[in-house]
Amino acid sequence: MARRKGRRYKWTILPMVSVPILFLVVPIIFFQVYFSLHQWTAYLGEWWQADFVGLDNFRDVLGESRFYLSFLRSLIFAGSSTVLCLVIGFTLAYLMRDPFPGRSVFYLLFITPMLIVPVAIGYDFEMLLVQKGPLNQLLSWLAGREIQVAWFAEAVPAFVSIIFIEVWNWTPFVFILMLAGITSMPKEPIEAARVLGASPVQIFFHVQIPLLRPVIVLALILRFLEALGEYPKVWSLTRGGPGSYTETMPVYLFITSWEHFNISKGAAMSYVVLLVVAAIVYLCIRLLVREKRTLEMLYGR
Amino acid sequence: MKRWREDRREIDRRAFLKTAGAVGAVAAAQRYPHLGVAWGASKVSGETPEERAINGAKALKKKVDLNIAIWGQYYNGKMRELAEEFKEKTGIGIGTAVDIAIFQMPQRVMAEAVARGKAFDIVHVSAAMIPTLANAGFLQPLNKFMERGGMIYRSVGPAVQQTHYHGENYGFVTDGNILATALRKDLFENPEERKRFEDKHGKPLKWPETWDDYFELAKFFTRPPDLYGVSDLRSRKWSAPIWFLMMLYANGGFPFADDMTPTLYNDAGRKAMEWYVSARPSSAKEISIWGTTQNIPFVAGGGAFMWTYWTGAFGVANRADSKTTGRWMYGVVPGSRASGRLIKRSISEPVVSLVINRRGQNPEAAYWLSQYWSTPKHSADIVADPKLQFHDAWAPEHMTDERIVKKYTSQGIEATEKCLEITTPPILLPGFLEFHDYLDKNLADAFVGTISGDEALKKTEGEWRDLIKRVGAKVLTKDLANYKAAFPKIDLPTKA
Amino acid sequence: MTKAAKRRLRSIGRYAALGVWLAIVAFPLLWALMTSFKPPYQWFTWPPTWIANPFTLNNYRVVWLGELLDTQYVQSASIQTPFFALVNSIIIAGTSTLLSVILGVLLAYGVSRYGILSERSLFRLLILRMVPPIVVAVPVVIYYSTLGLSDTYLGLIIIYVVTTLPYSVWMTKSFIDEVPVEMEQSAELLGASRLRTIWEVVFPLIRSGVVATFMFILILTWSEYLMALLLSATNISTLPVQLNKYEGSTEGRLYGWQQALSIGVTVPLIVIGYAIHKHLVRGFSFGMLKR
Repeated sequence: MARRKGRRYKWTILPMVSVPILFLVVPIIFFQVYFSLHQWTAYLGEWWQADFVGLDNFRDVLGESRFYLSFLRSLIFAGSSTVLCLVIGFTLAYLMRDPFPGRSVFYLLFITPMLIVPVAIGYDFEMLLVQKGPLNQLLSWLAGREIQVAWFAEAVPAFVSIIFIEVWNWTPFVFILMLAGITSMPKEPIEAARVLGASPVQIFFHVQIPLLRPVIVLALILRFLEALGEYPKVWSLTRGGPGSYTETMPVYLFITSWEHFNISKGAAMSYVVLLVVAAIVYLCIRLLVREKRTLEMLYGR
Repeated sequence: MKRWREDRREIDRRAFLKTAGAVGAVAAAQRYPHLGVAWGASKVSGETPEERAINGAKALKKKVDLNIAIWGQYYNGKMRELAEEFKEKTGIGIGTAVDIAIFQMPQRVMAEAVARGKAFDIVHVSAAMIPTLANAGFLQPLNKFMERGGMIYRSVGPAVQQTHYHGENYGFVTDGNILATALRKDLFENPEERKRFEDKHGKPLKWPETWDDYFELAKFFTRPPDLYGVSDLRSRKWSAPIWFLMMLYANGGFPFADDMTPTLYNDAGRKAMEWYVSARPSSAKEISIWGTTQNIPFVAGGGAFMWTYWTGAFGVANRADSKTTGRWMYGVVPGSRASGRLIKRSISEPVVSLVINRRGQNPEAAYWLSQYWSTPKHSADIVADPKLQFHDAWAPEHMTDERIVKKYTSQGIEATEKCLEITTPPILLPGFLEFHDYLDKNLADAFVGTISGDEALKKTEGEWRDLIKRVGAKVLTKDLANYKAAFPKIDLPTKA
Repeated sequence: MTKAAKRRLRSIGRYAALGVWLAIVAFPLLWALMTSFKPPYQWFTWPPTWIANPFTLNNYRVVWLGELLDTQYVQSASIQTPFFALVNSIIIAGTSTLLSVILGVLLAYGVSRYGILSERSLFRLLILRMVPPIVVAVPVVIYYSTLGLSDTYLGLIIIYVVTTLPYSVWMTKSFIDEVPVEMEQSAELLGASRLRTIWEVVFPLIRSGVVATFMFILILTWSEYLMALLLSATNISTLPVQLNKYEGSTEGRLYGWQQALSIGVTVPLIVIGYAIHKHLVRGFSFGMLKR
């Protein structure tokens, strides 16, 4: 009886969802495969007249240092911003786990950066990070001496700046996740540990963190993947400069598809990126699934 | 690809037939800038090109409201007024003006071209995109309309050549965007400075004739943190290659040989690169990341002694509320003696022009409105618009129009005119954005020191070689003639 | 040290630590807000102008009402007023988010109760979200133009629904998982239809989670820029597309106008975010937490 109902539900709902997905996704996949195997530049003839070139595009992409460097920069960018988001978000959530006066004010303000359109954030920080600008003035005042860092004009400060802006923008996401996790942690294990005489530090590292591990891993994965594809802020702030120090993968992908109009190469690049990203997702999901099963074992469903 | 090659052959054949006539007419127009009336009998009646545009539009049976993709900061003044006038008189006007900045315009118009869209009838885009868009099959050729409308379309110097492609005109310039040089008069004429310079360099302080002089001056006036010698753009995606190209051309160099072999790594290129990078010690640190939007307030606020920049910006620095108002001196850009004689070369980029979508609702109607906007009289009105600063002067009429002279100052307009006489185009080939991007990236890397100048030149040559192979050397060699046609025929401005 | 003193010390420490991050968060926000009230000559000064003086509403009037003020500063306002784009943004983002959430809930219900999708399919759905829209823009533009979906509300809505569906499925599934099946069984015994059961039994229990999902996806669709730029022409235009117009000029930076527009673009999201912020706490758990 349940199975029949299940099948009926399945065949009612799946078409509803599949139709728009297939309508959009299947032709696009076809196009992308076609483009990656042919040589088409947008202003040179029609796309259906393009020559077949087999795996040449892939060979070009995989043999190009500019691509590897941009991907490497993206990995560093995404990795560091994610870890920082996590550390800060967790700390904030931990500090706010118990109610205290003014808690909701802090909460409301903490989630605001996530609600701002990314391009607007880019413009705002452009004003702030000018060498003769408010941030430097503020820092000088705080430090008591002259601070005139050229945030965008040098390699390391520029890279640090874009990481910081990403962290500023998306820490709220991690913060909310962590707060939900922390506030809904079961009390029994902690009580038990306390009764057994464990110190707060021990409780923290050996009871609380393991209980939160699934949320932490989830936040890491989602943030990392979104950060890999981050484009509007980097583009509006540095456009890959100074030199090429902040040319991340989405920036190079944009340049390839929309300035070189080399659609074929862009398609091939997107496949390479997709493969690497899918591999990362798969590995992390396996980690997640393991965590989920552990939880289910411990607490039943 | 095969079909496209056949199309190209057709373009080339028509081009050959036209070129013979066109080259003659253009050469005549350049040598006699006061001529330039389109050849052939005007078929539409009217005493002035404005009248002819109106009569041409009135004759059309179907009245349409055209859609234009243009930046509000170009459109929202005189252009809009004129469009409304045109609508009253002919019934053809602007339906929707879609506000897109010139930075996103190439992407937007390319998406239209690829999708064979009809959404936009007129697009306002850099003329350097015209070869790319013509190859994409997007553009409406205008010659026959120009003949019928008796259109007068000429510039001081070769700037309007940028809207031509294989003898056919595809657009009307509205913004000349020419580069000239400006420096701080108060410092330049200061007797103490003059004495100090003479003592140090053994020669009097004078206007830089060559880029060597220019960077020598820049170094002399670099006194951080309050004053920097020079403030020309060097950052990615802010047209930095045009400063390099300007110096390359002045050295007698050219990016390609006749068979499309890249020719950057030679004496001319290396000297240009040396100059390009030498701006670094004399510029504010952030010049490697600044766009025009940060640079202009910086210079207007007194941060730099000298810049070679778009003439429109000079007006901003000279405005009543600017800290440096009244303290500027304008003149021709420096040149080079590297080729054995003194050659001065300025550059016009982006020469923003009105182009017409050949798949639009009514290309002829779009043409008549464009003609109405671009006649000598109306283009002067547009450039002189007190509310907008974007349209920079380019036509002979602009140089003597009172309002424009007032806007630019008479020294400024003189400098503009001289620079227009010796102006050059950016890389005017299909794939312009890609050629520029490789050069842009390598210049940026060389400027911040990631790679050496020589490496930058060689790398660019290599990347260009791949691009040329992809587009086809045969095709590009034919387009080289078009690129070269946009160059001036004289070494120095005629009025001394 | 007494227990009370220790507690007070801990409390002060907490306020201090939170205060540091609060300052970091608030500083750019306040600067943006202040700049939107500054007259043009204060947009880019050294030393920086901290307080707008005189405080002016001109930037908002220029940007939102299309008035040609500060004409000496020359750059005039947009051709298509931001209100047109605002309405468009509300229609497009609102509709696509609603559809995405509704379909997501229905699909997630099926996965949770009947396993209509394998775990593998679920993960493949997530991968859909990992393709950079930059490269698929060209095929979409070509495909849409042949179908006549360019420059239409429907076209953009379809894209947004499909690309946000992975998130809405994943998020709502975790909440549905937490609702005991027994509750539905009692409704079934009373003869309720499947749909009615979902609406009257399940939905109230997952309401906060659904609201959170709605909020998150709204942020994504509201801020989306590239597809909106390439697929809009004369009939539609969204706010992020308008925002990018102020990128640069021969003039100095139009910071005041940019910020006036940015704040207007962000305010609707902030209002919604604040209205539902309590639900957001429960939102992002993805089936990992035990209540």
